[in-house]
Amino acid sequence: MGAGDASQFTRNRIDLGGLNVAYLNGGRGAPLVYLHGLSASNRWESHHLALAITNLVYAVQLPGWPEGSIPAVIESAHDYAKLIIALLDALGLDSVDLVGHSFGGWIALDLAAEYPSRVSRLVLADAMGLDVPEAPAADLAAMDQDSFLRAAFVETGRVLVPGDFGGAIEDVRLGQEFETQWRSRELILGLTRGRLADPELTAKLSSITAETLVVWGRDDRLVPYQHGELLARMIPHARLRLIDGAGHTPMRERRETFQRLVRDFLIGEG
Amino acid sequence: MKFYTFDELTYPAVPAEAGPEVRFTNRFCDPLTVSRTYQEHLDEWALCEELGFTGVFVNEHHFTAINIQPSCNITAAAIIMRTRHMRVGVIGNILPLRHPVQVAEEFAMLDCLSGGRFIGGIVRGVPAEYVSYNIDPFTSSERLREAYDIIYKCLTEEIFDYDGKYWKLTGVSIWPRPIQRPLPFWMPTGSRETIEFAAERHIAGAQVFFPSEAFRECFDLYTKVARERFGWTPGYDQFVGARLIHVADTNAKAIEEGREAINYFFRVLGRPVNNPAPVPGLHGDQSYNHRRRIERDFPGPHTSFEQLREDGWIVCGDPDYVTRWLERDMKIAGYGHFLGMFHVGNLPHDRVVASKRLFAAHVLPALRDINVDAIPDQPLAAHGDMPYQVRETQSLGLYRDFNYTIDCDAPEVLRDFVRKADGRTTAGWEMRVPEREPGGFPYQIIFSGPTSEHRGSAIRLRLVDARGTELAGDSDVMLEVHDGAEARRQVVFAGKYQAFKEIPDQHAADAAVAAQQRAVAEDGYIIHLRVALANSAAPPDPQADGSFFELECFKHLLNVTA
Repeated sequence: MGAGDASQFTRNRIDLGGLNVAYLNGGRGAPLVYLHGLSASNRWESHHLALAITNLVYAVQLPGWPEGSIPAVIESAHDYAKLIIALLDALGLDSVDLVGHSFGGWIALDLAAEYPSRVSRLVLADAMGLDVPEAPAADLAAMDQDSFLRAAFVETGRVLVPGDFGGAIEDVRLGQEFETQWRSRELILGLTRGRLADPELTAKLSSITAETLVVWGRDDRLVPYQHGELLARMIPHARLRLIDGAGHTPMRERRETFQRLVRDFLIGEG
Repeated sequence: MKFYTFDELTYPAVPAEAGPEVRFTNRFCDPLTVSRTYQEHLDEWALCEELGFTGVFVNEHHFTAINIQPSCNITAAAIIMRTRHMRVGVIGNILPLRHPVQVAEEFAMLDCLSGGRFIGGIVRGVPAEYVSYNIDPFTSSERLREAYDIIYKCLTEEIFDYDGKYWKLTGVSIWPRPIQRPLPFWMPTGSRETIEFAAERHIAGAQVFFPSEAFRECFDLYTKVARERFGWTPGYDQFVGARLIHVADTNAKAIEEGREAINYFFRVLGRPVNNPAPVPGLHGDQSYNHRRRIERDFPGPHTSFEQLREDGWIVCGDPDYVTRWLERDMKIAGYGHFLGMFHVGNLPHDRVVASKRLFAAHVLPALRDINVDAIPDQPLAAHGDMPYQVRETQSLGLYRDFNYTIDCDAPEVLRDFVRKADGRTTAGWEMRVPEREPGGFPYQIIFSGPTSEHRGSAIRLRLVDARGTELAGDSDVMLEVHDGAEARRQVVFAGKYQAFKEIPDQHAADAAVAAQQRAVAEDGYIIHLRVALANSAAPPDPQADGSFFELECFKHLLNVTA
């Protein structure tokens, strides 16, 4: 499939037990659900397009993100996992490839452990949720915008991003995405009541049956890469790939490397 | 320094009110304006020959007003027809979007059309092109690599098969083949991957737009890679620097004219019509690391003209300013070919012509001696010269493309014979090409005679008597073809048996005796292989265990269709 097919997408909404869930849908191939992290735009992002070359992508917007407050019926990452299962049922999808980043990775972990038959291949990128006392996740509640920025990104100044003609210089702090990430930190703190780790999650990892790729920014200071190491150890069929020069959002800071790793894994060449 | 002209062939009339929110679809394209723009550019390019430029380069892009040449090979052909001496090159064909065999065929055509003046070029294209051609950008490097391999084989090998991931080919032997062997190639080399690709294959590397120091970084990396990994040292001729340029009588006038044109250029640059998200897969994250330290923002409408001018995004001024700026640039960057992009954006035709004339009169002569390699280029074949020289080969091999061998057991063999007459014994084999059966296809048996490439098709023969003793070397051997009429008798070989006798193993490569003349045997023709010698007590015996013959030939089916 080419970049043309992968650039086509539709915006959809579906009612799931009273919750209105929005998702973007594009590409062709085996179905794949992408669960976002702190930043949830309603745009067809570069990483959606990349995945859509090999997969039929469902990029879900978790309820709460567009509105800025999480619905009362959602009380945990597990509730989101149940919601995604309801979405798969409604769409008639028996099993899917599942990619989860950051908080979306937490949901993906929970879903893959609780409903293993629904996941064919699992990709976890800088996933939250594990309790790793020797390398704990950063305390989001205690951070100001500046320390949050420095914890999440390796390069916080002007960065050259390859583009159509020669590339462009971008500055994450000035981007719309950073604003969203900073604001959604409140959502996650609210939902988890400030506890960014589920002590019971580690014990569940052995139930995951899917082939798993754990991919991490080596310099992630929000969720350190030791979480990735633990995941790769505890999930039965998992491999870990660390990406140099990336923090918490490798799909942004090392776009090409991240997408190539995930793509190669999904098409069985990784 | 060698000087060339090279333009993005920019459509000049996108309305000013079309802001960044507007998709530049072809509703903005007036074909008559395109036609006029083509003619103006052709005049400007042809003028360069008169002005003493070394050559002209063209390139291709798709779905954009910045360059209205989706196939620069067509433009190159038009320029070739307007010039006689200048080099004409493309930089280049977007290989992942094209069929490599056709690229090779067109390059060979362009080289022949120009009498050996053509320079080939390859590029990977930009993301929007992968969207609308619907190609997987993650495969672009592999496709480029494979396509170049195929093109190279097409241009250098007689015939080949190719079993690639994207192209599987059988029996490719392109017509025409190029005059220049090897055909020179150029390509842009901004990223680490392309630098390594070019250095390995001795392809000249081009840089465009960026400041002198950024050019230098790329050329230095190329040199380092060529030396350390591929064991050769590139000269100035391996490096190409391209810059937007505008020359006028005074700095003030040049700046005024250039400012307007470059504003237009950046307004229409990088405006894909269908590109919903940054398209990944064309580059690696490490691609530009070597350039990051000195990288400056890729400019746009927001960048001040003064900054663009200072950094060399446009070299703009009077002849004195341009000479001084370029001299410094050439010495820092170290390129041996300068590509001047004179037709900036929507700059009017008369200003481009005036700028080129000033450049040729004042700038070009002043910079000519910079960055010249010690060994000059080979002189080009002029129009009308015989482009090929038949290669002299001391020992030619046998004809190899035979598809048929006639031996004692072949269906063509009618009989063997030994007969005595007039004091001589003649022995051998008689063969016959069958006449066509109803509904069947007729065929020809062709014995290939000597050509410049081989010394003929193989004839193998050994004749012994009933006791196994081989004949005397002075026996006469004759292989001939006839249809009963003396006029159509064709002698394939006539000589002494000694020629066969002195080859210990006639099946060794190139060891057999070869046909001396080309001959064709058709429907009902007789093929006669015989040896004649003085009568003796022990005549040769074709049926003896030690006797054999083999005639390598070409069996040509005449495929008659209604």
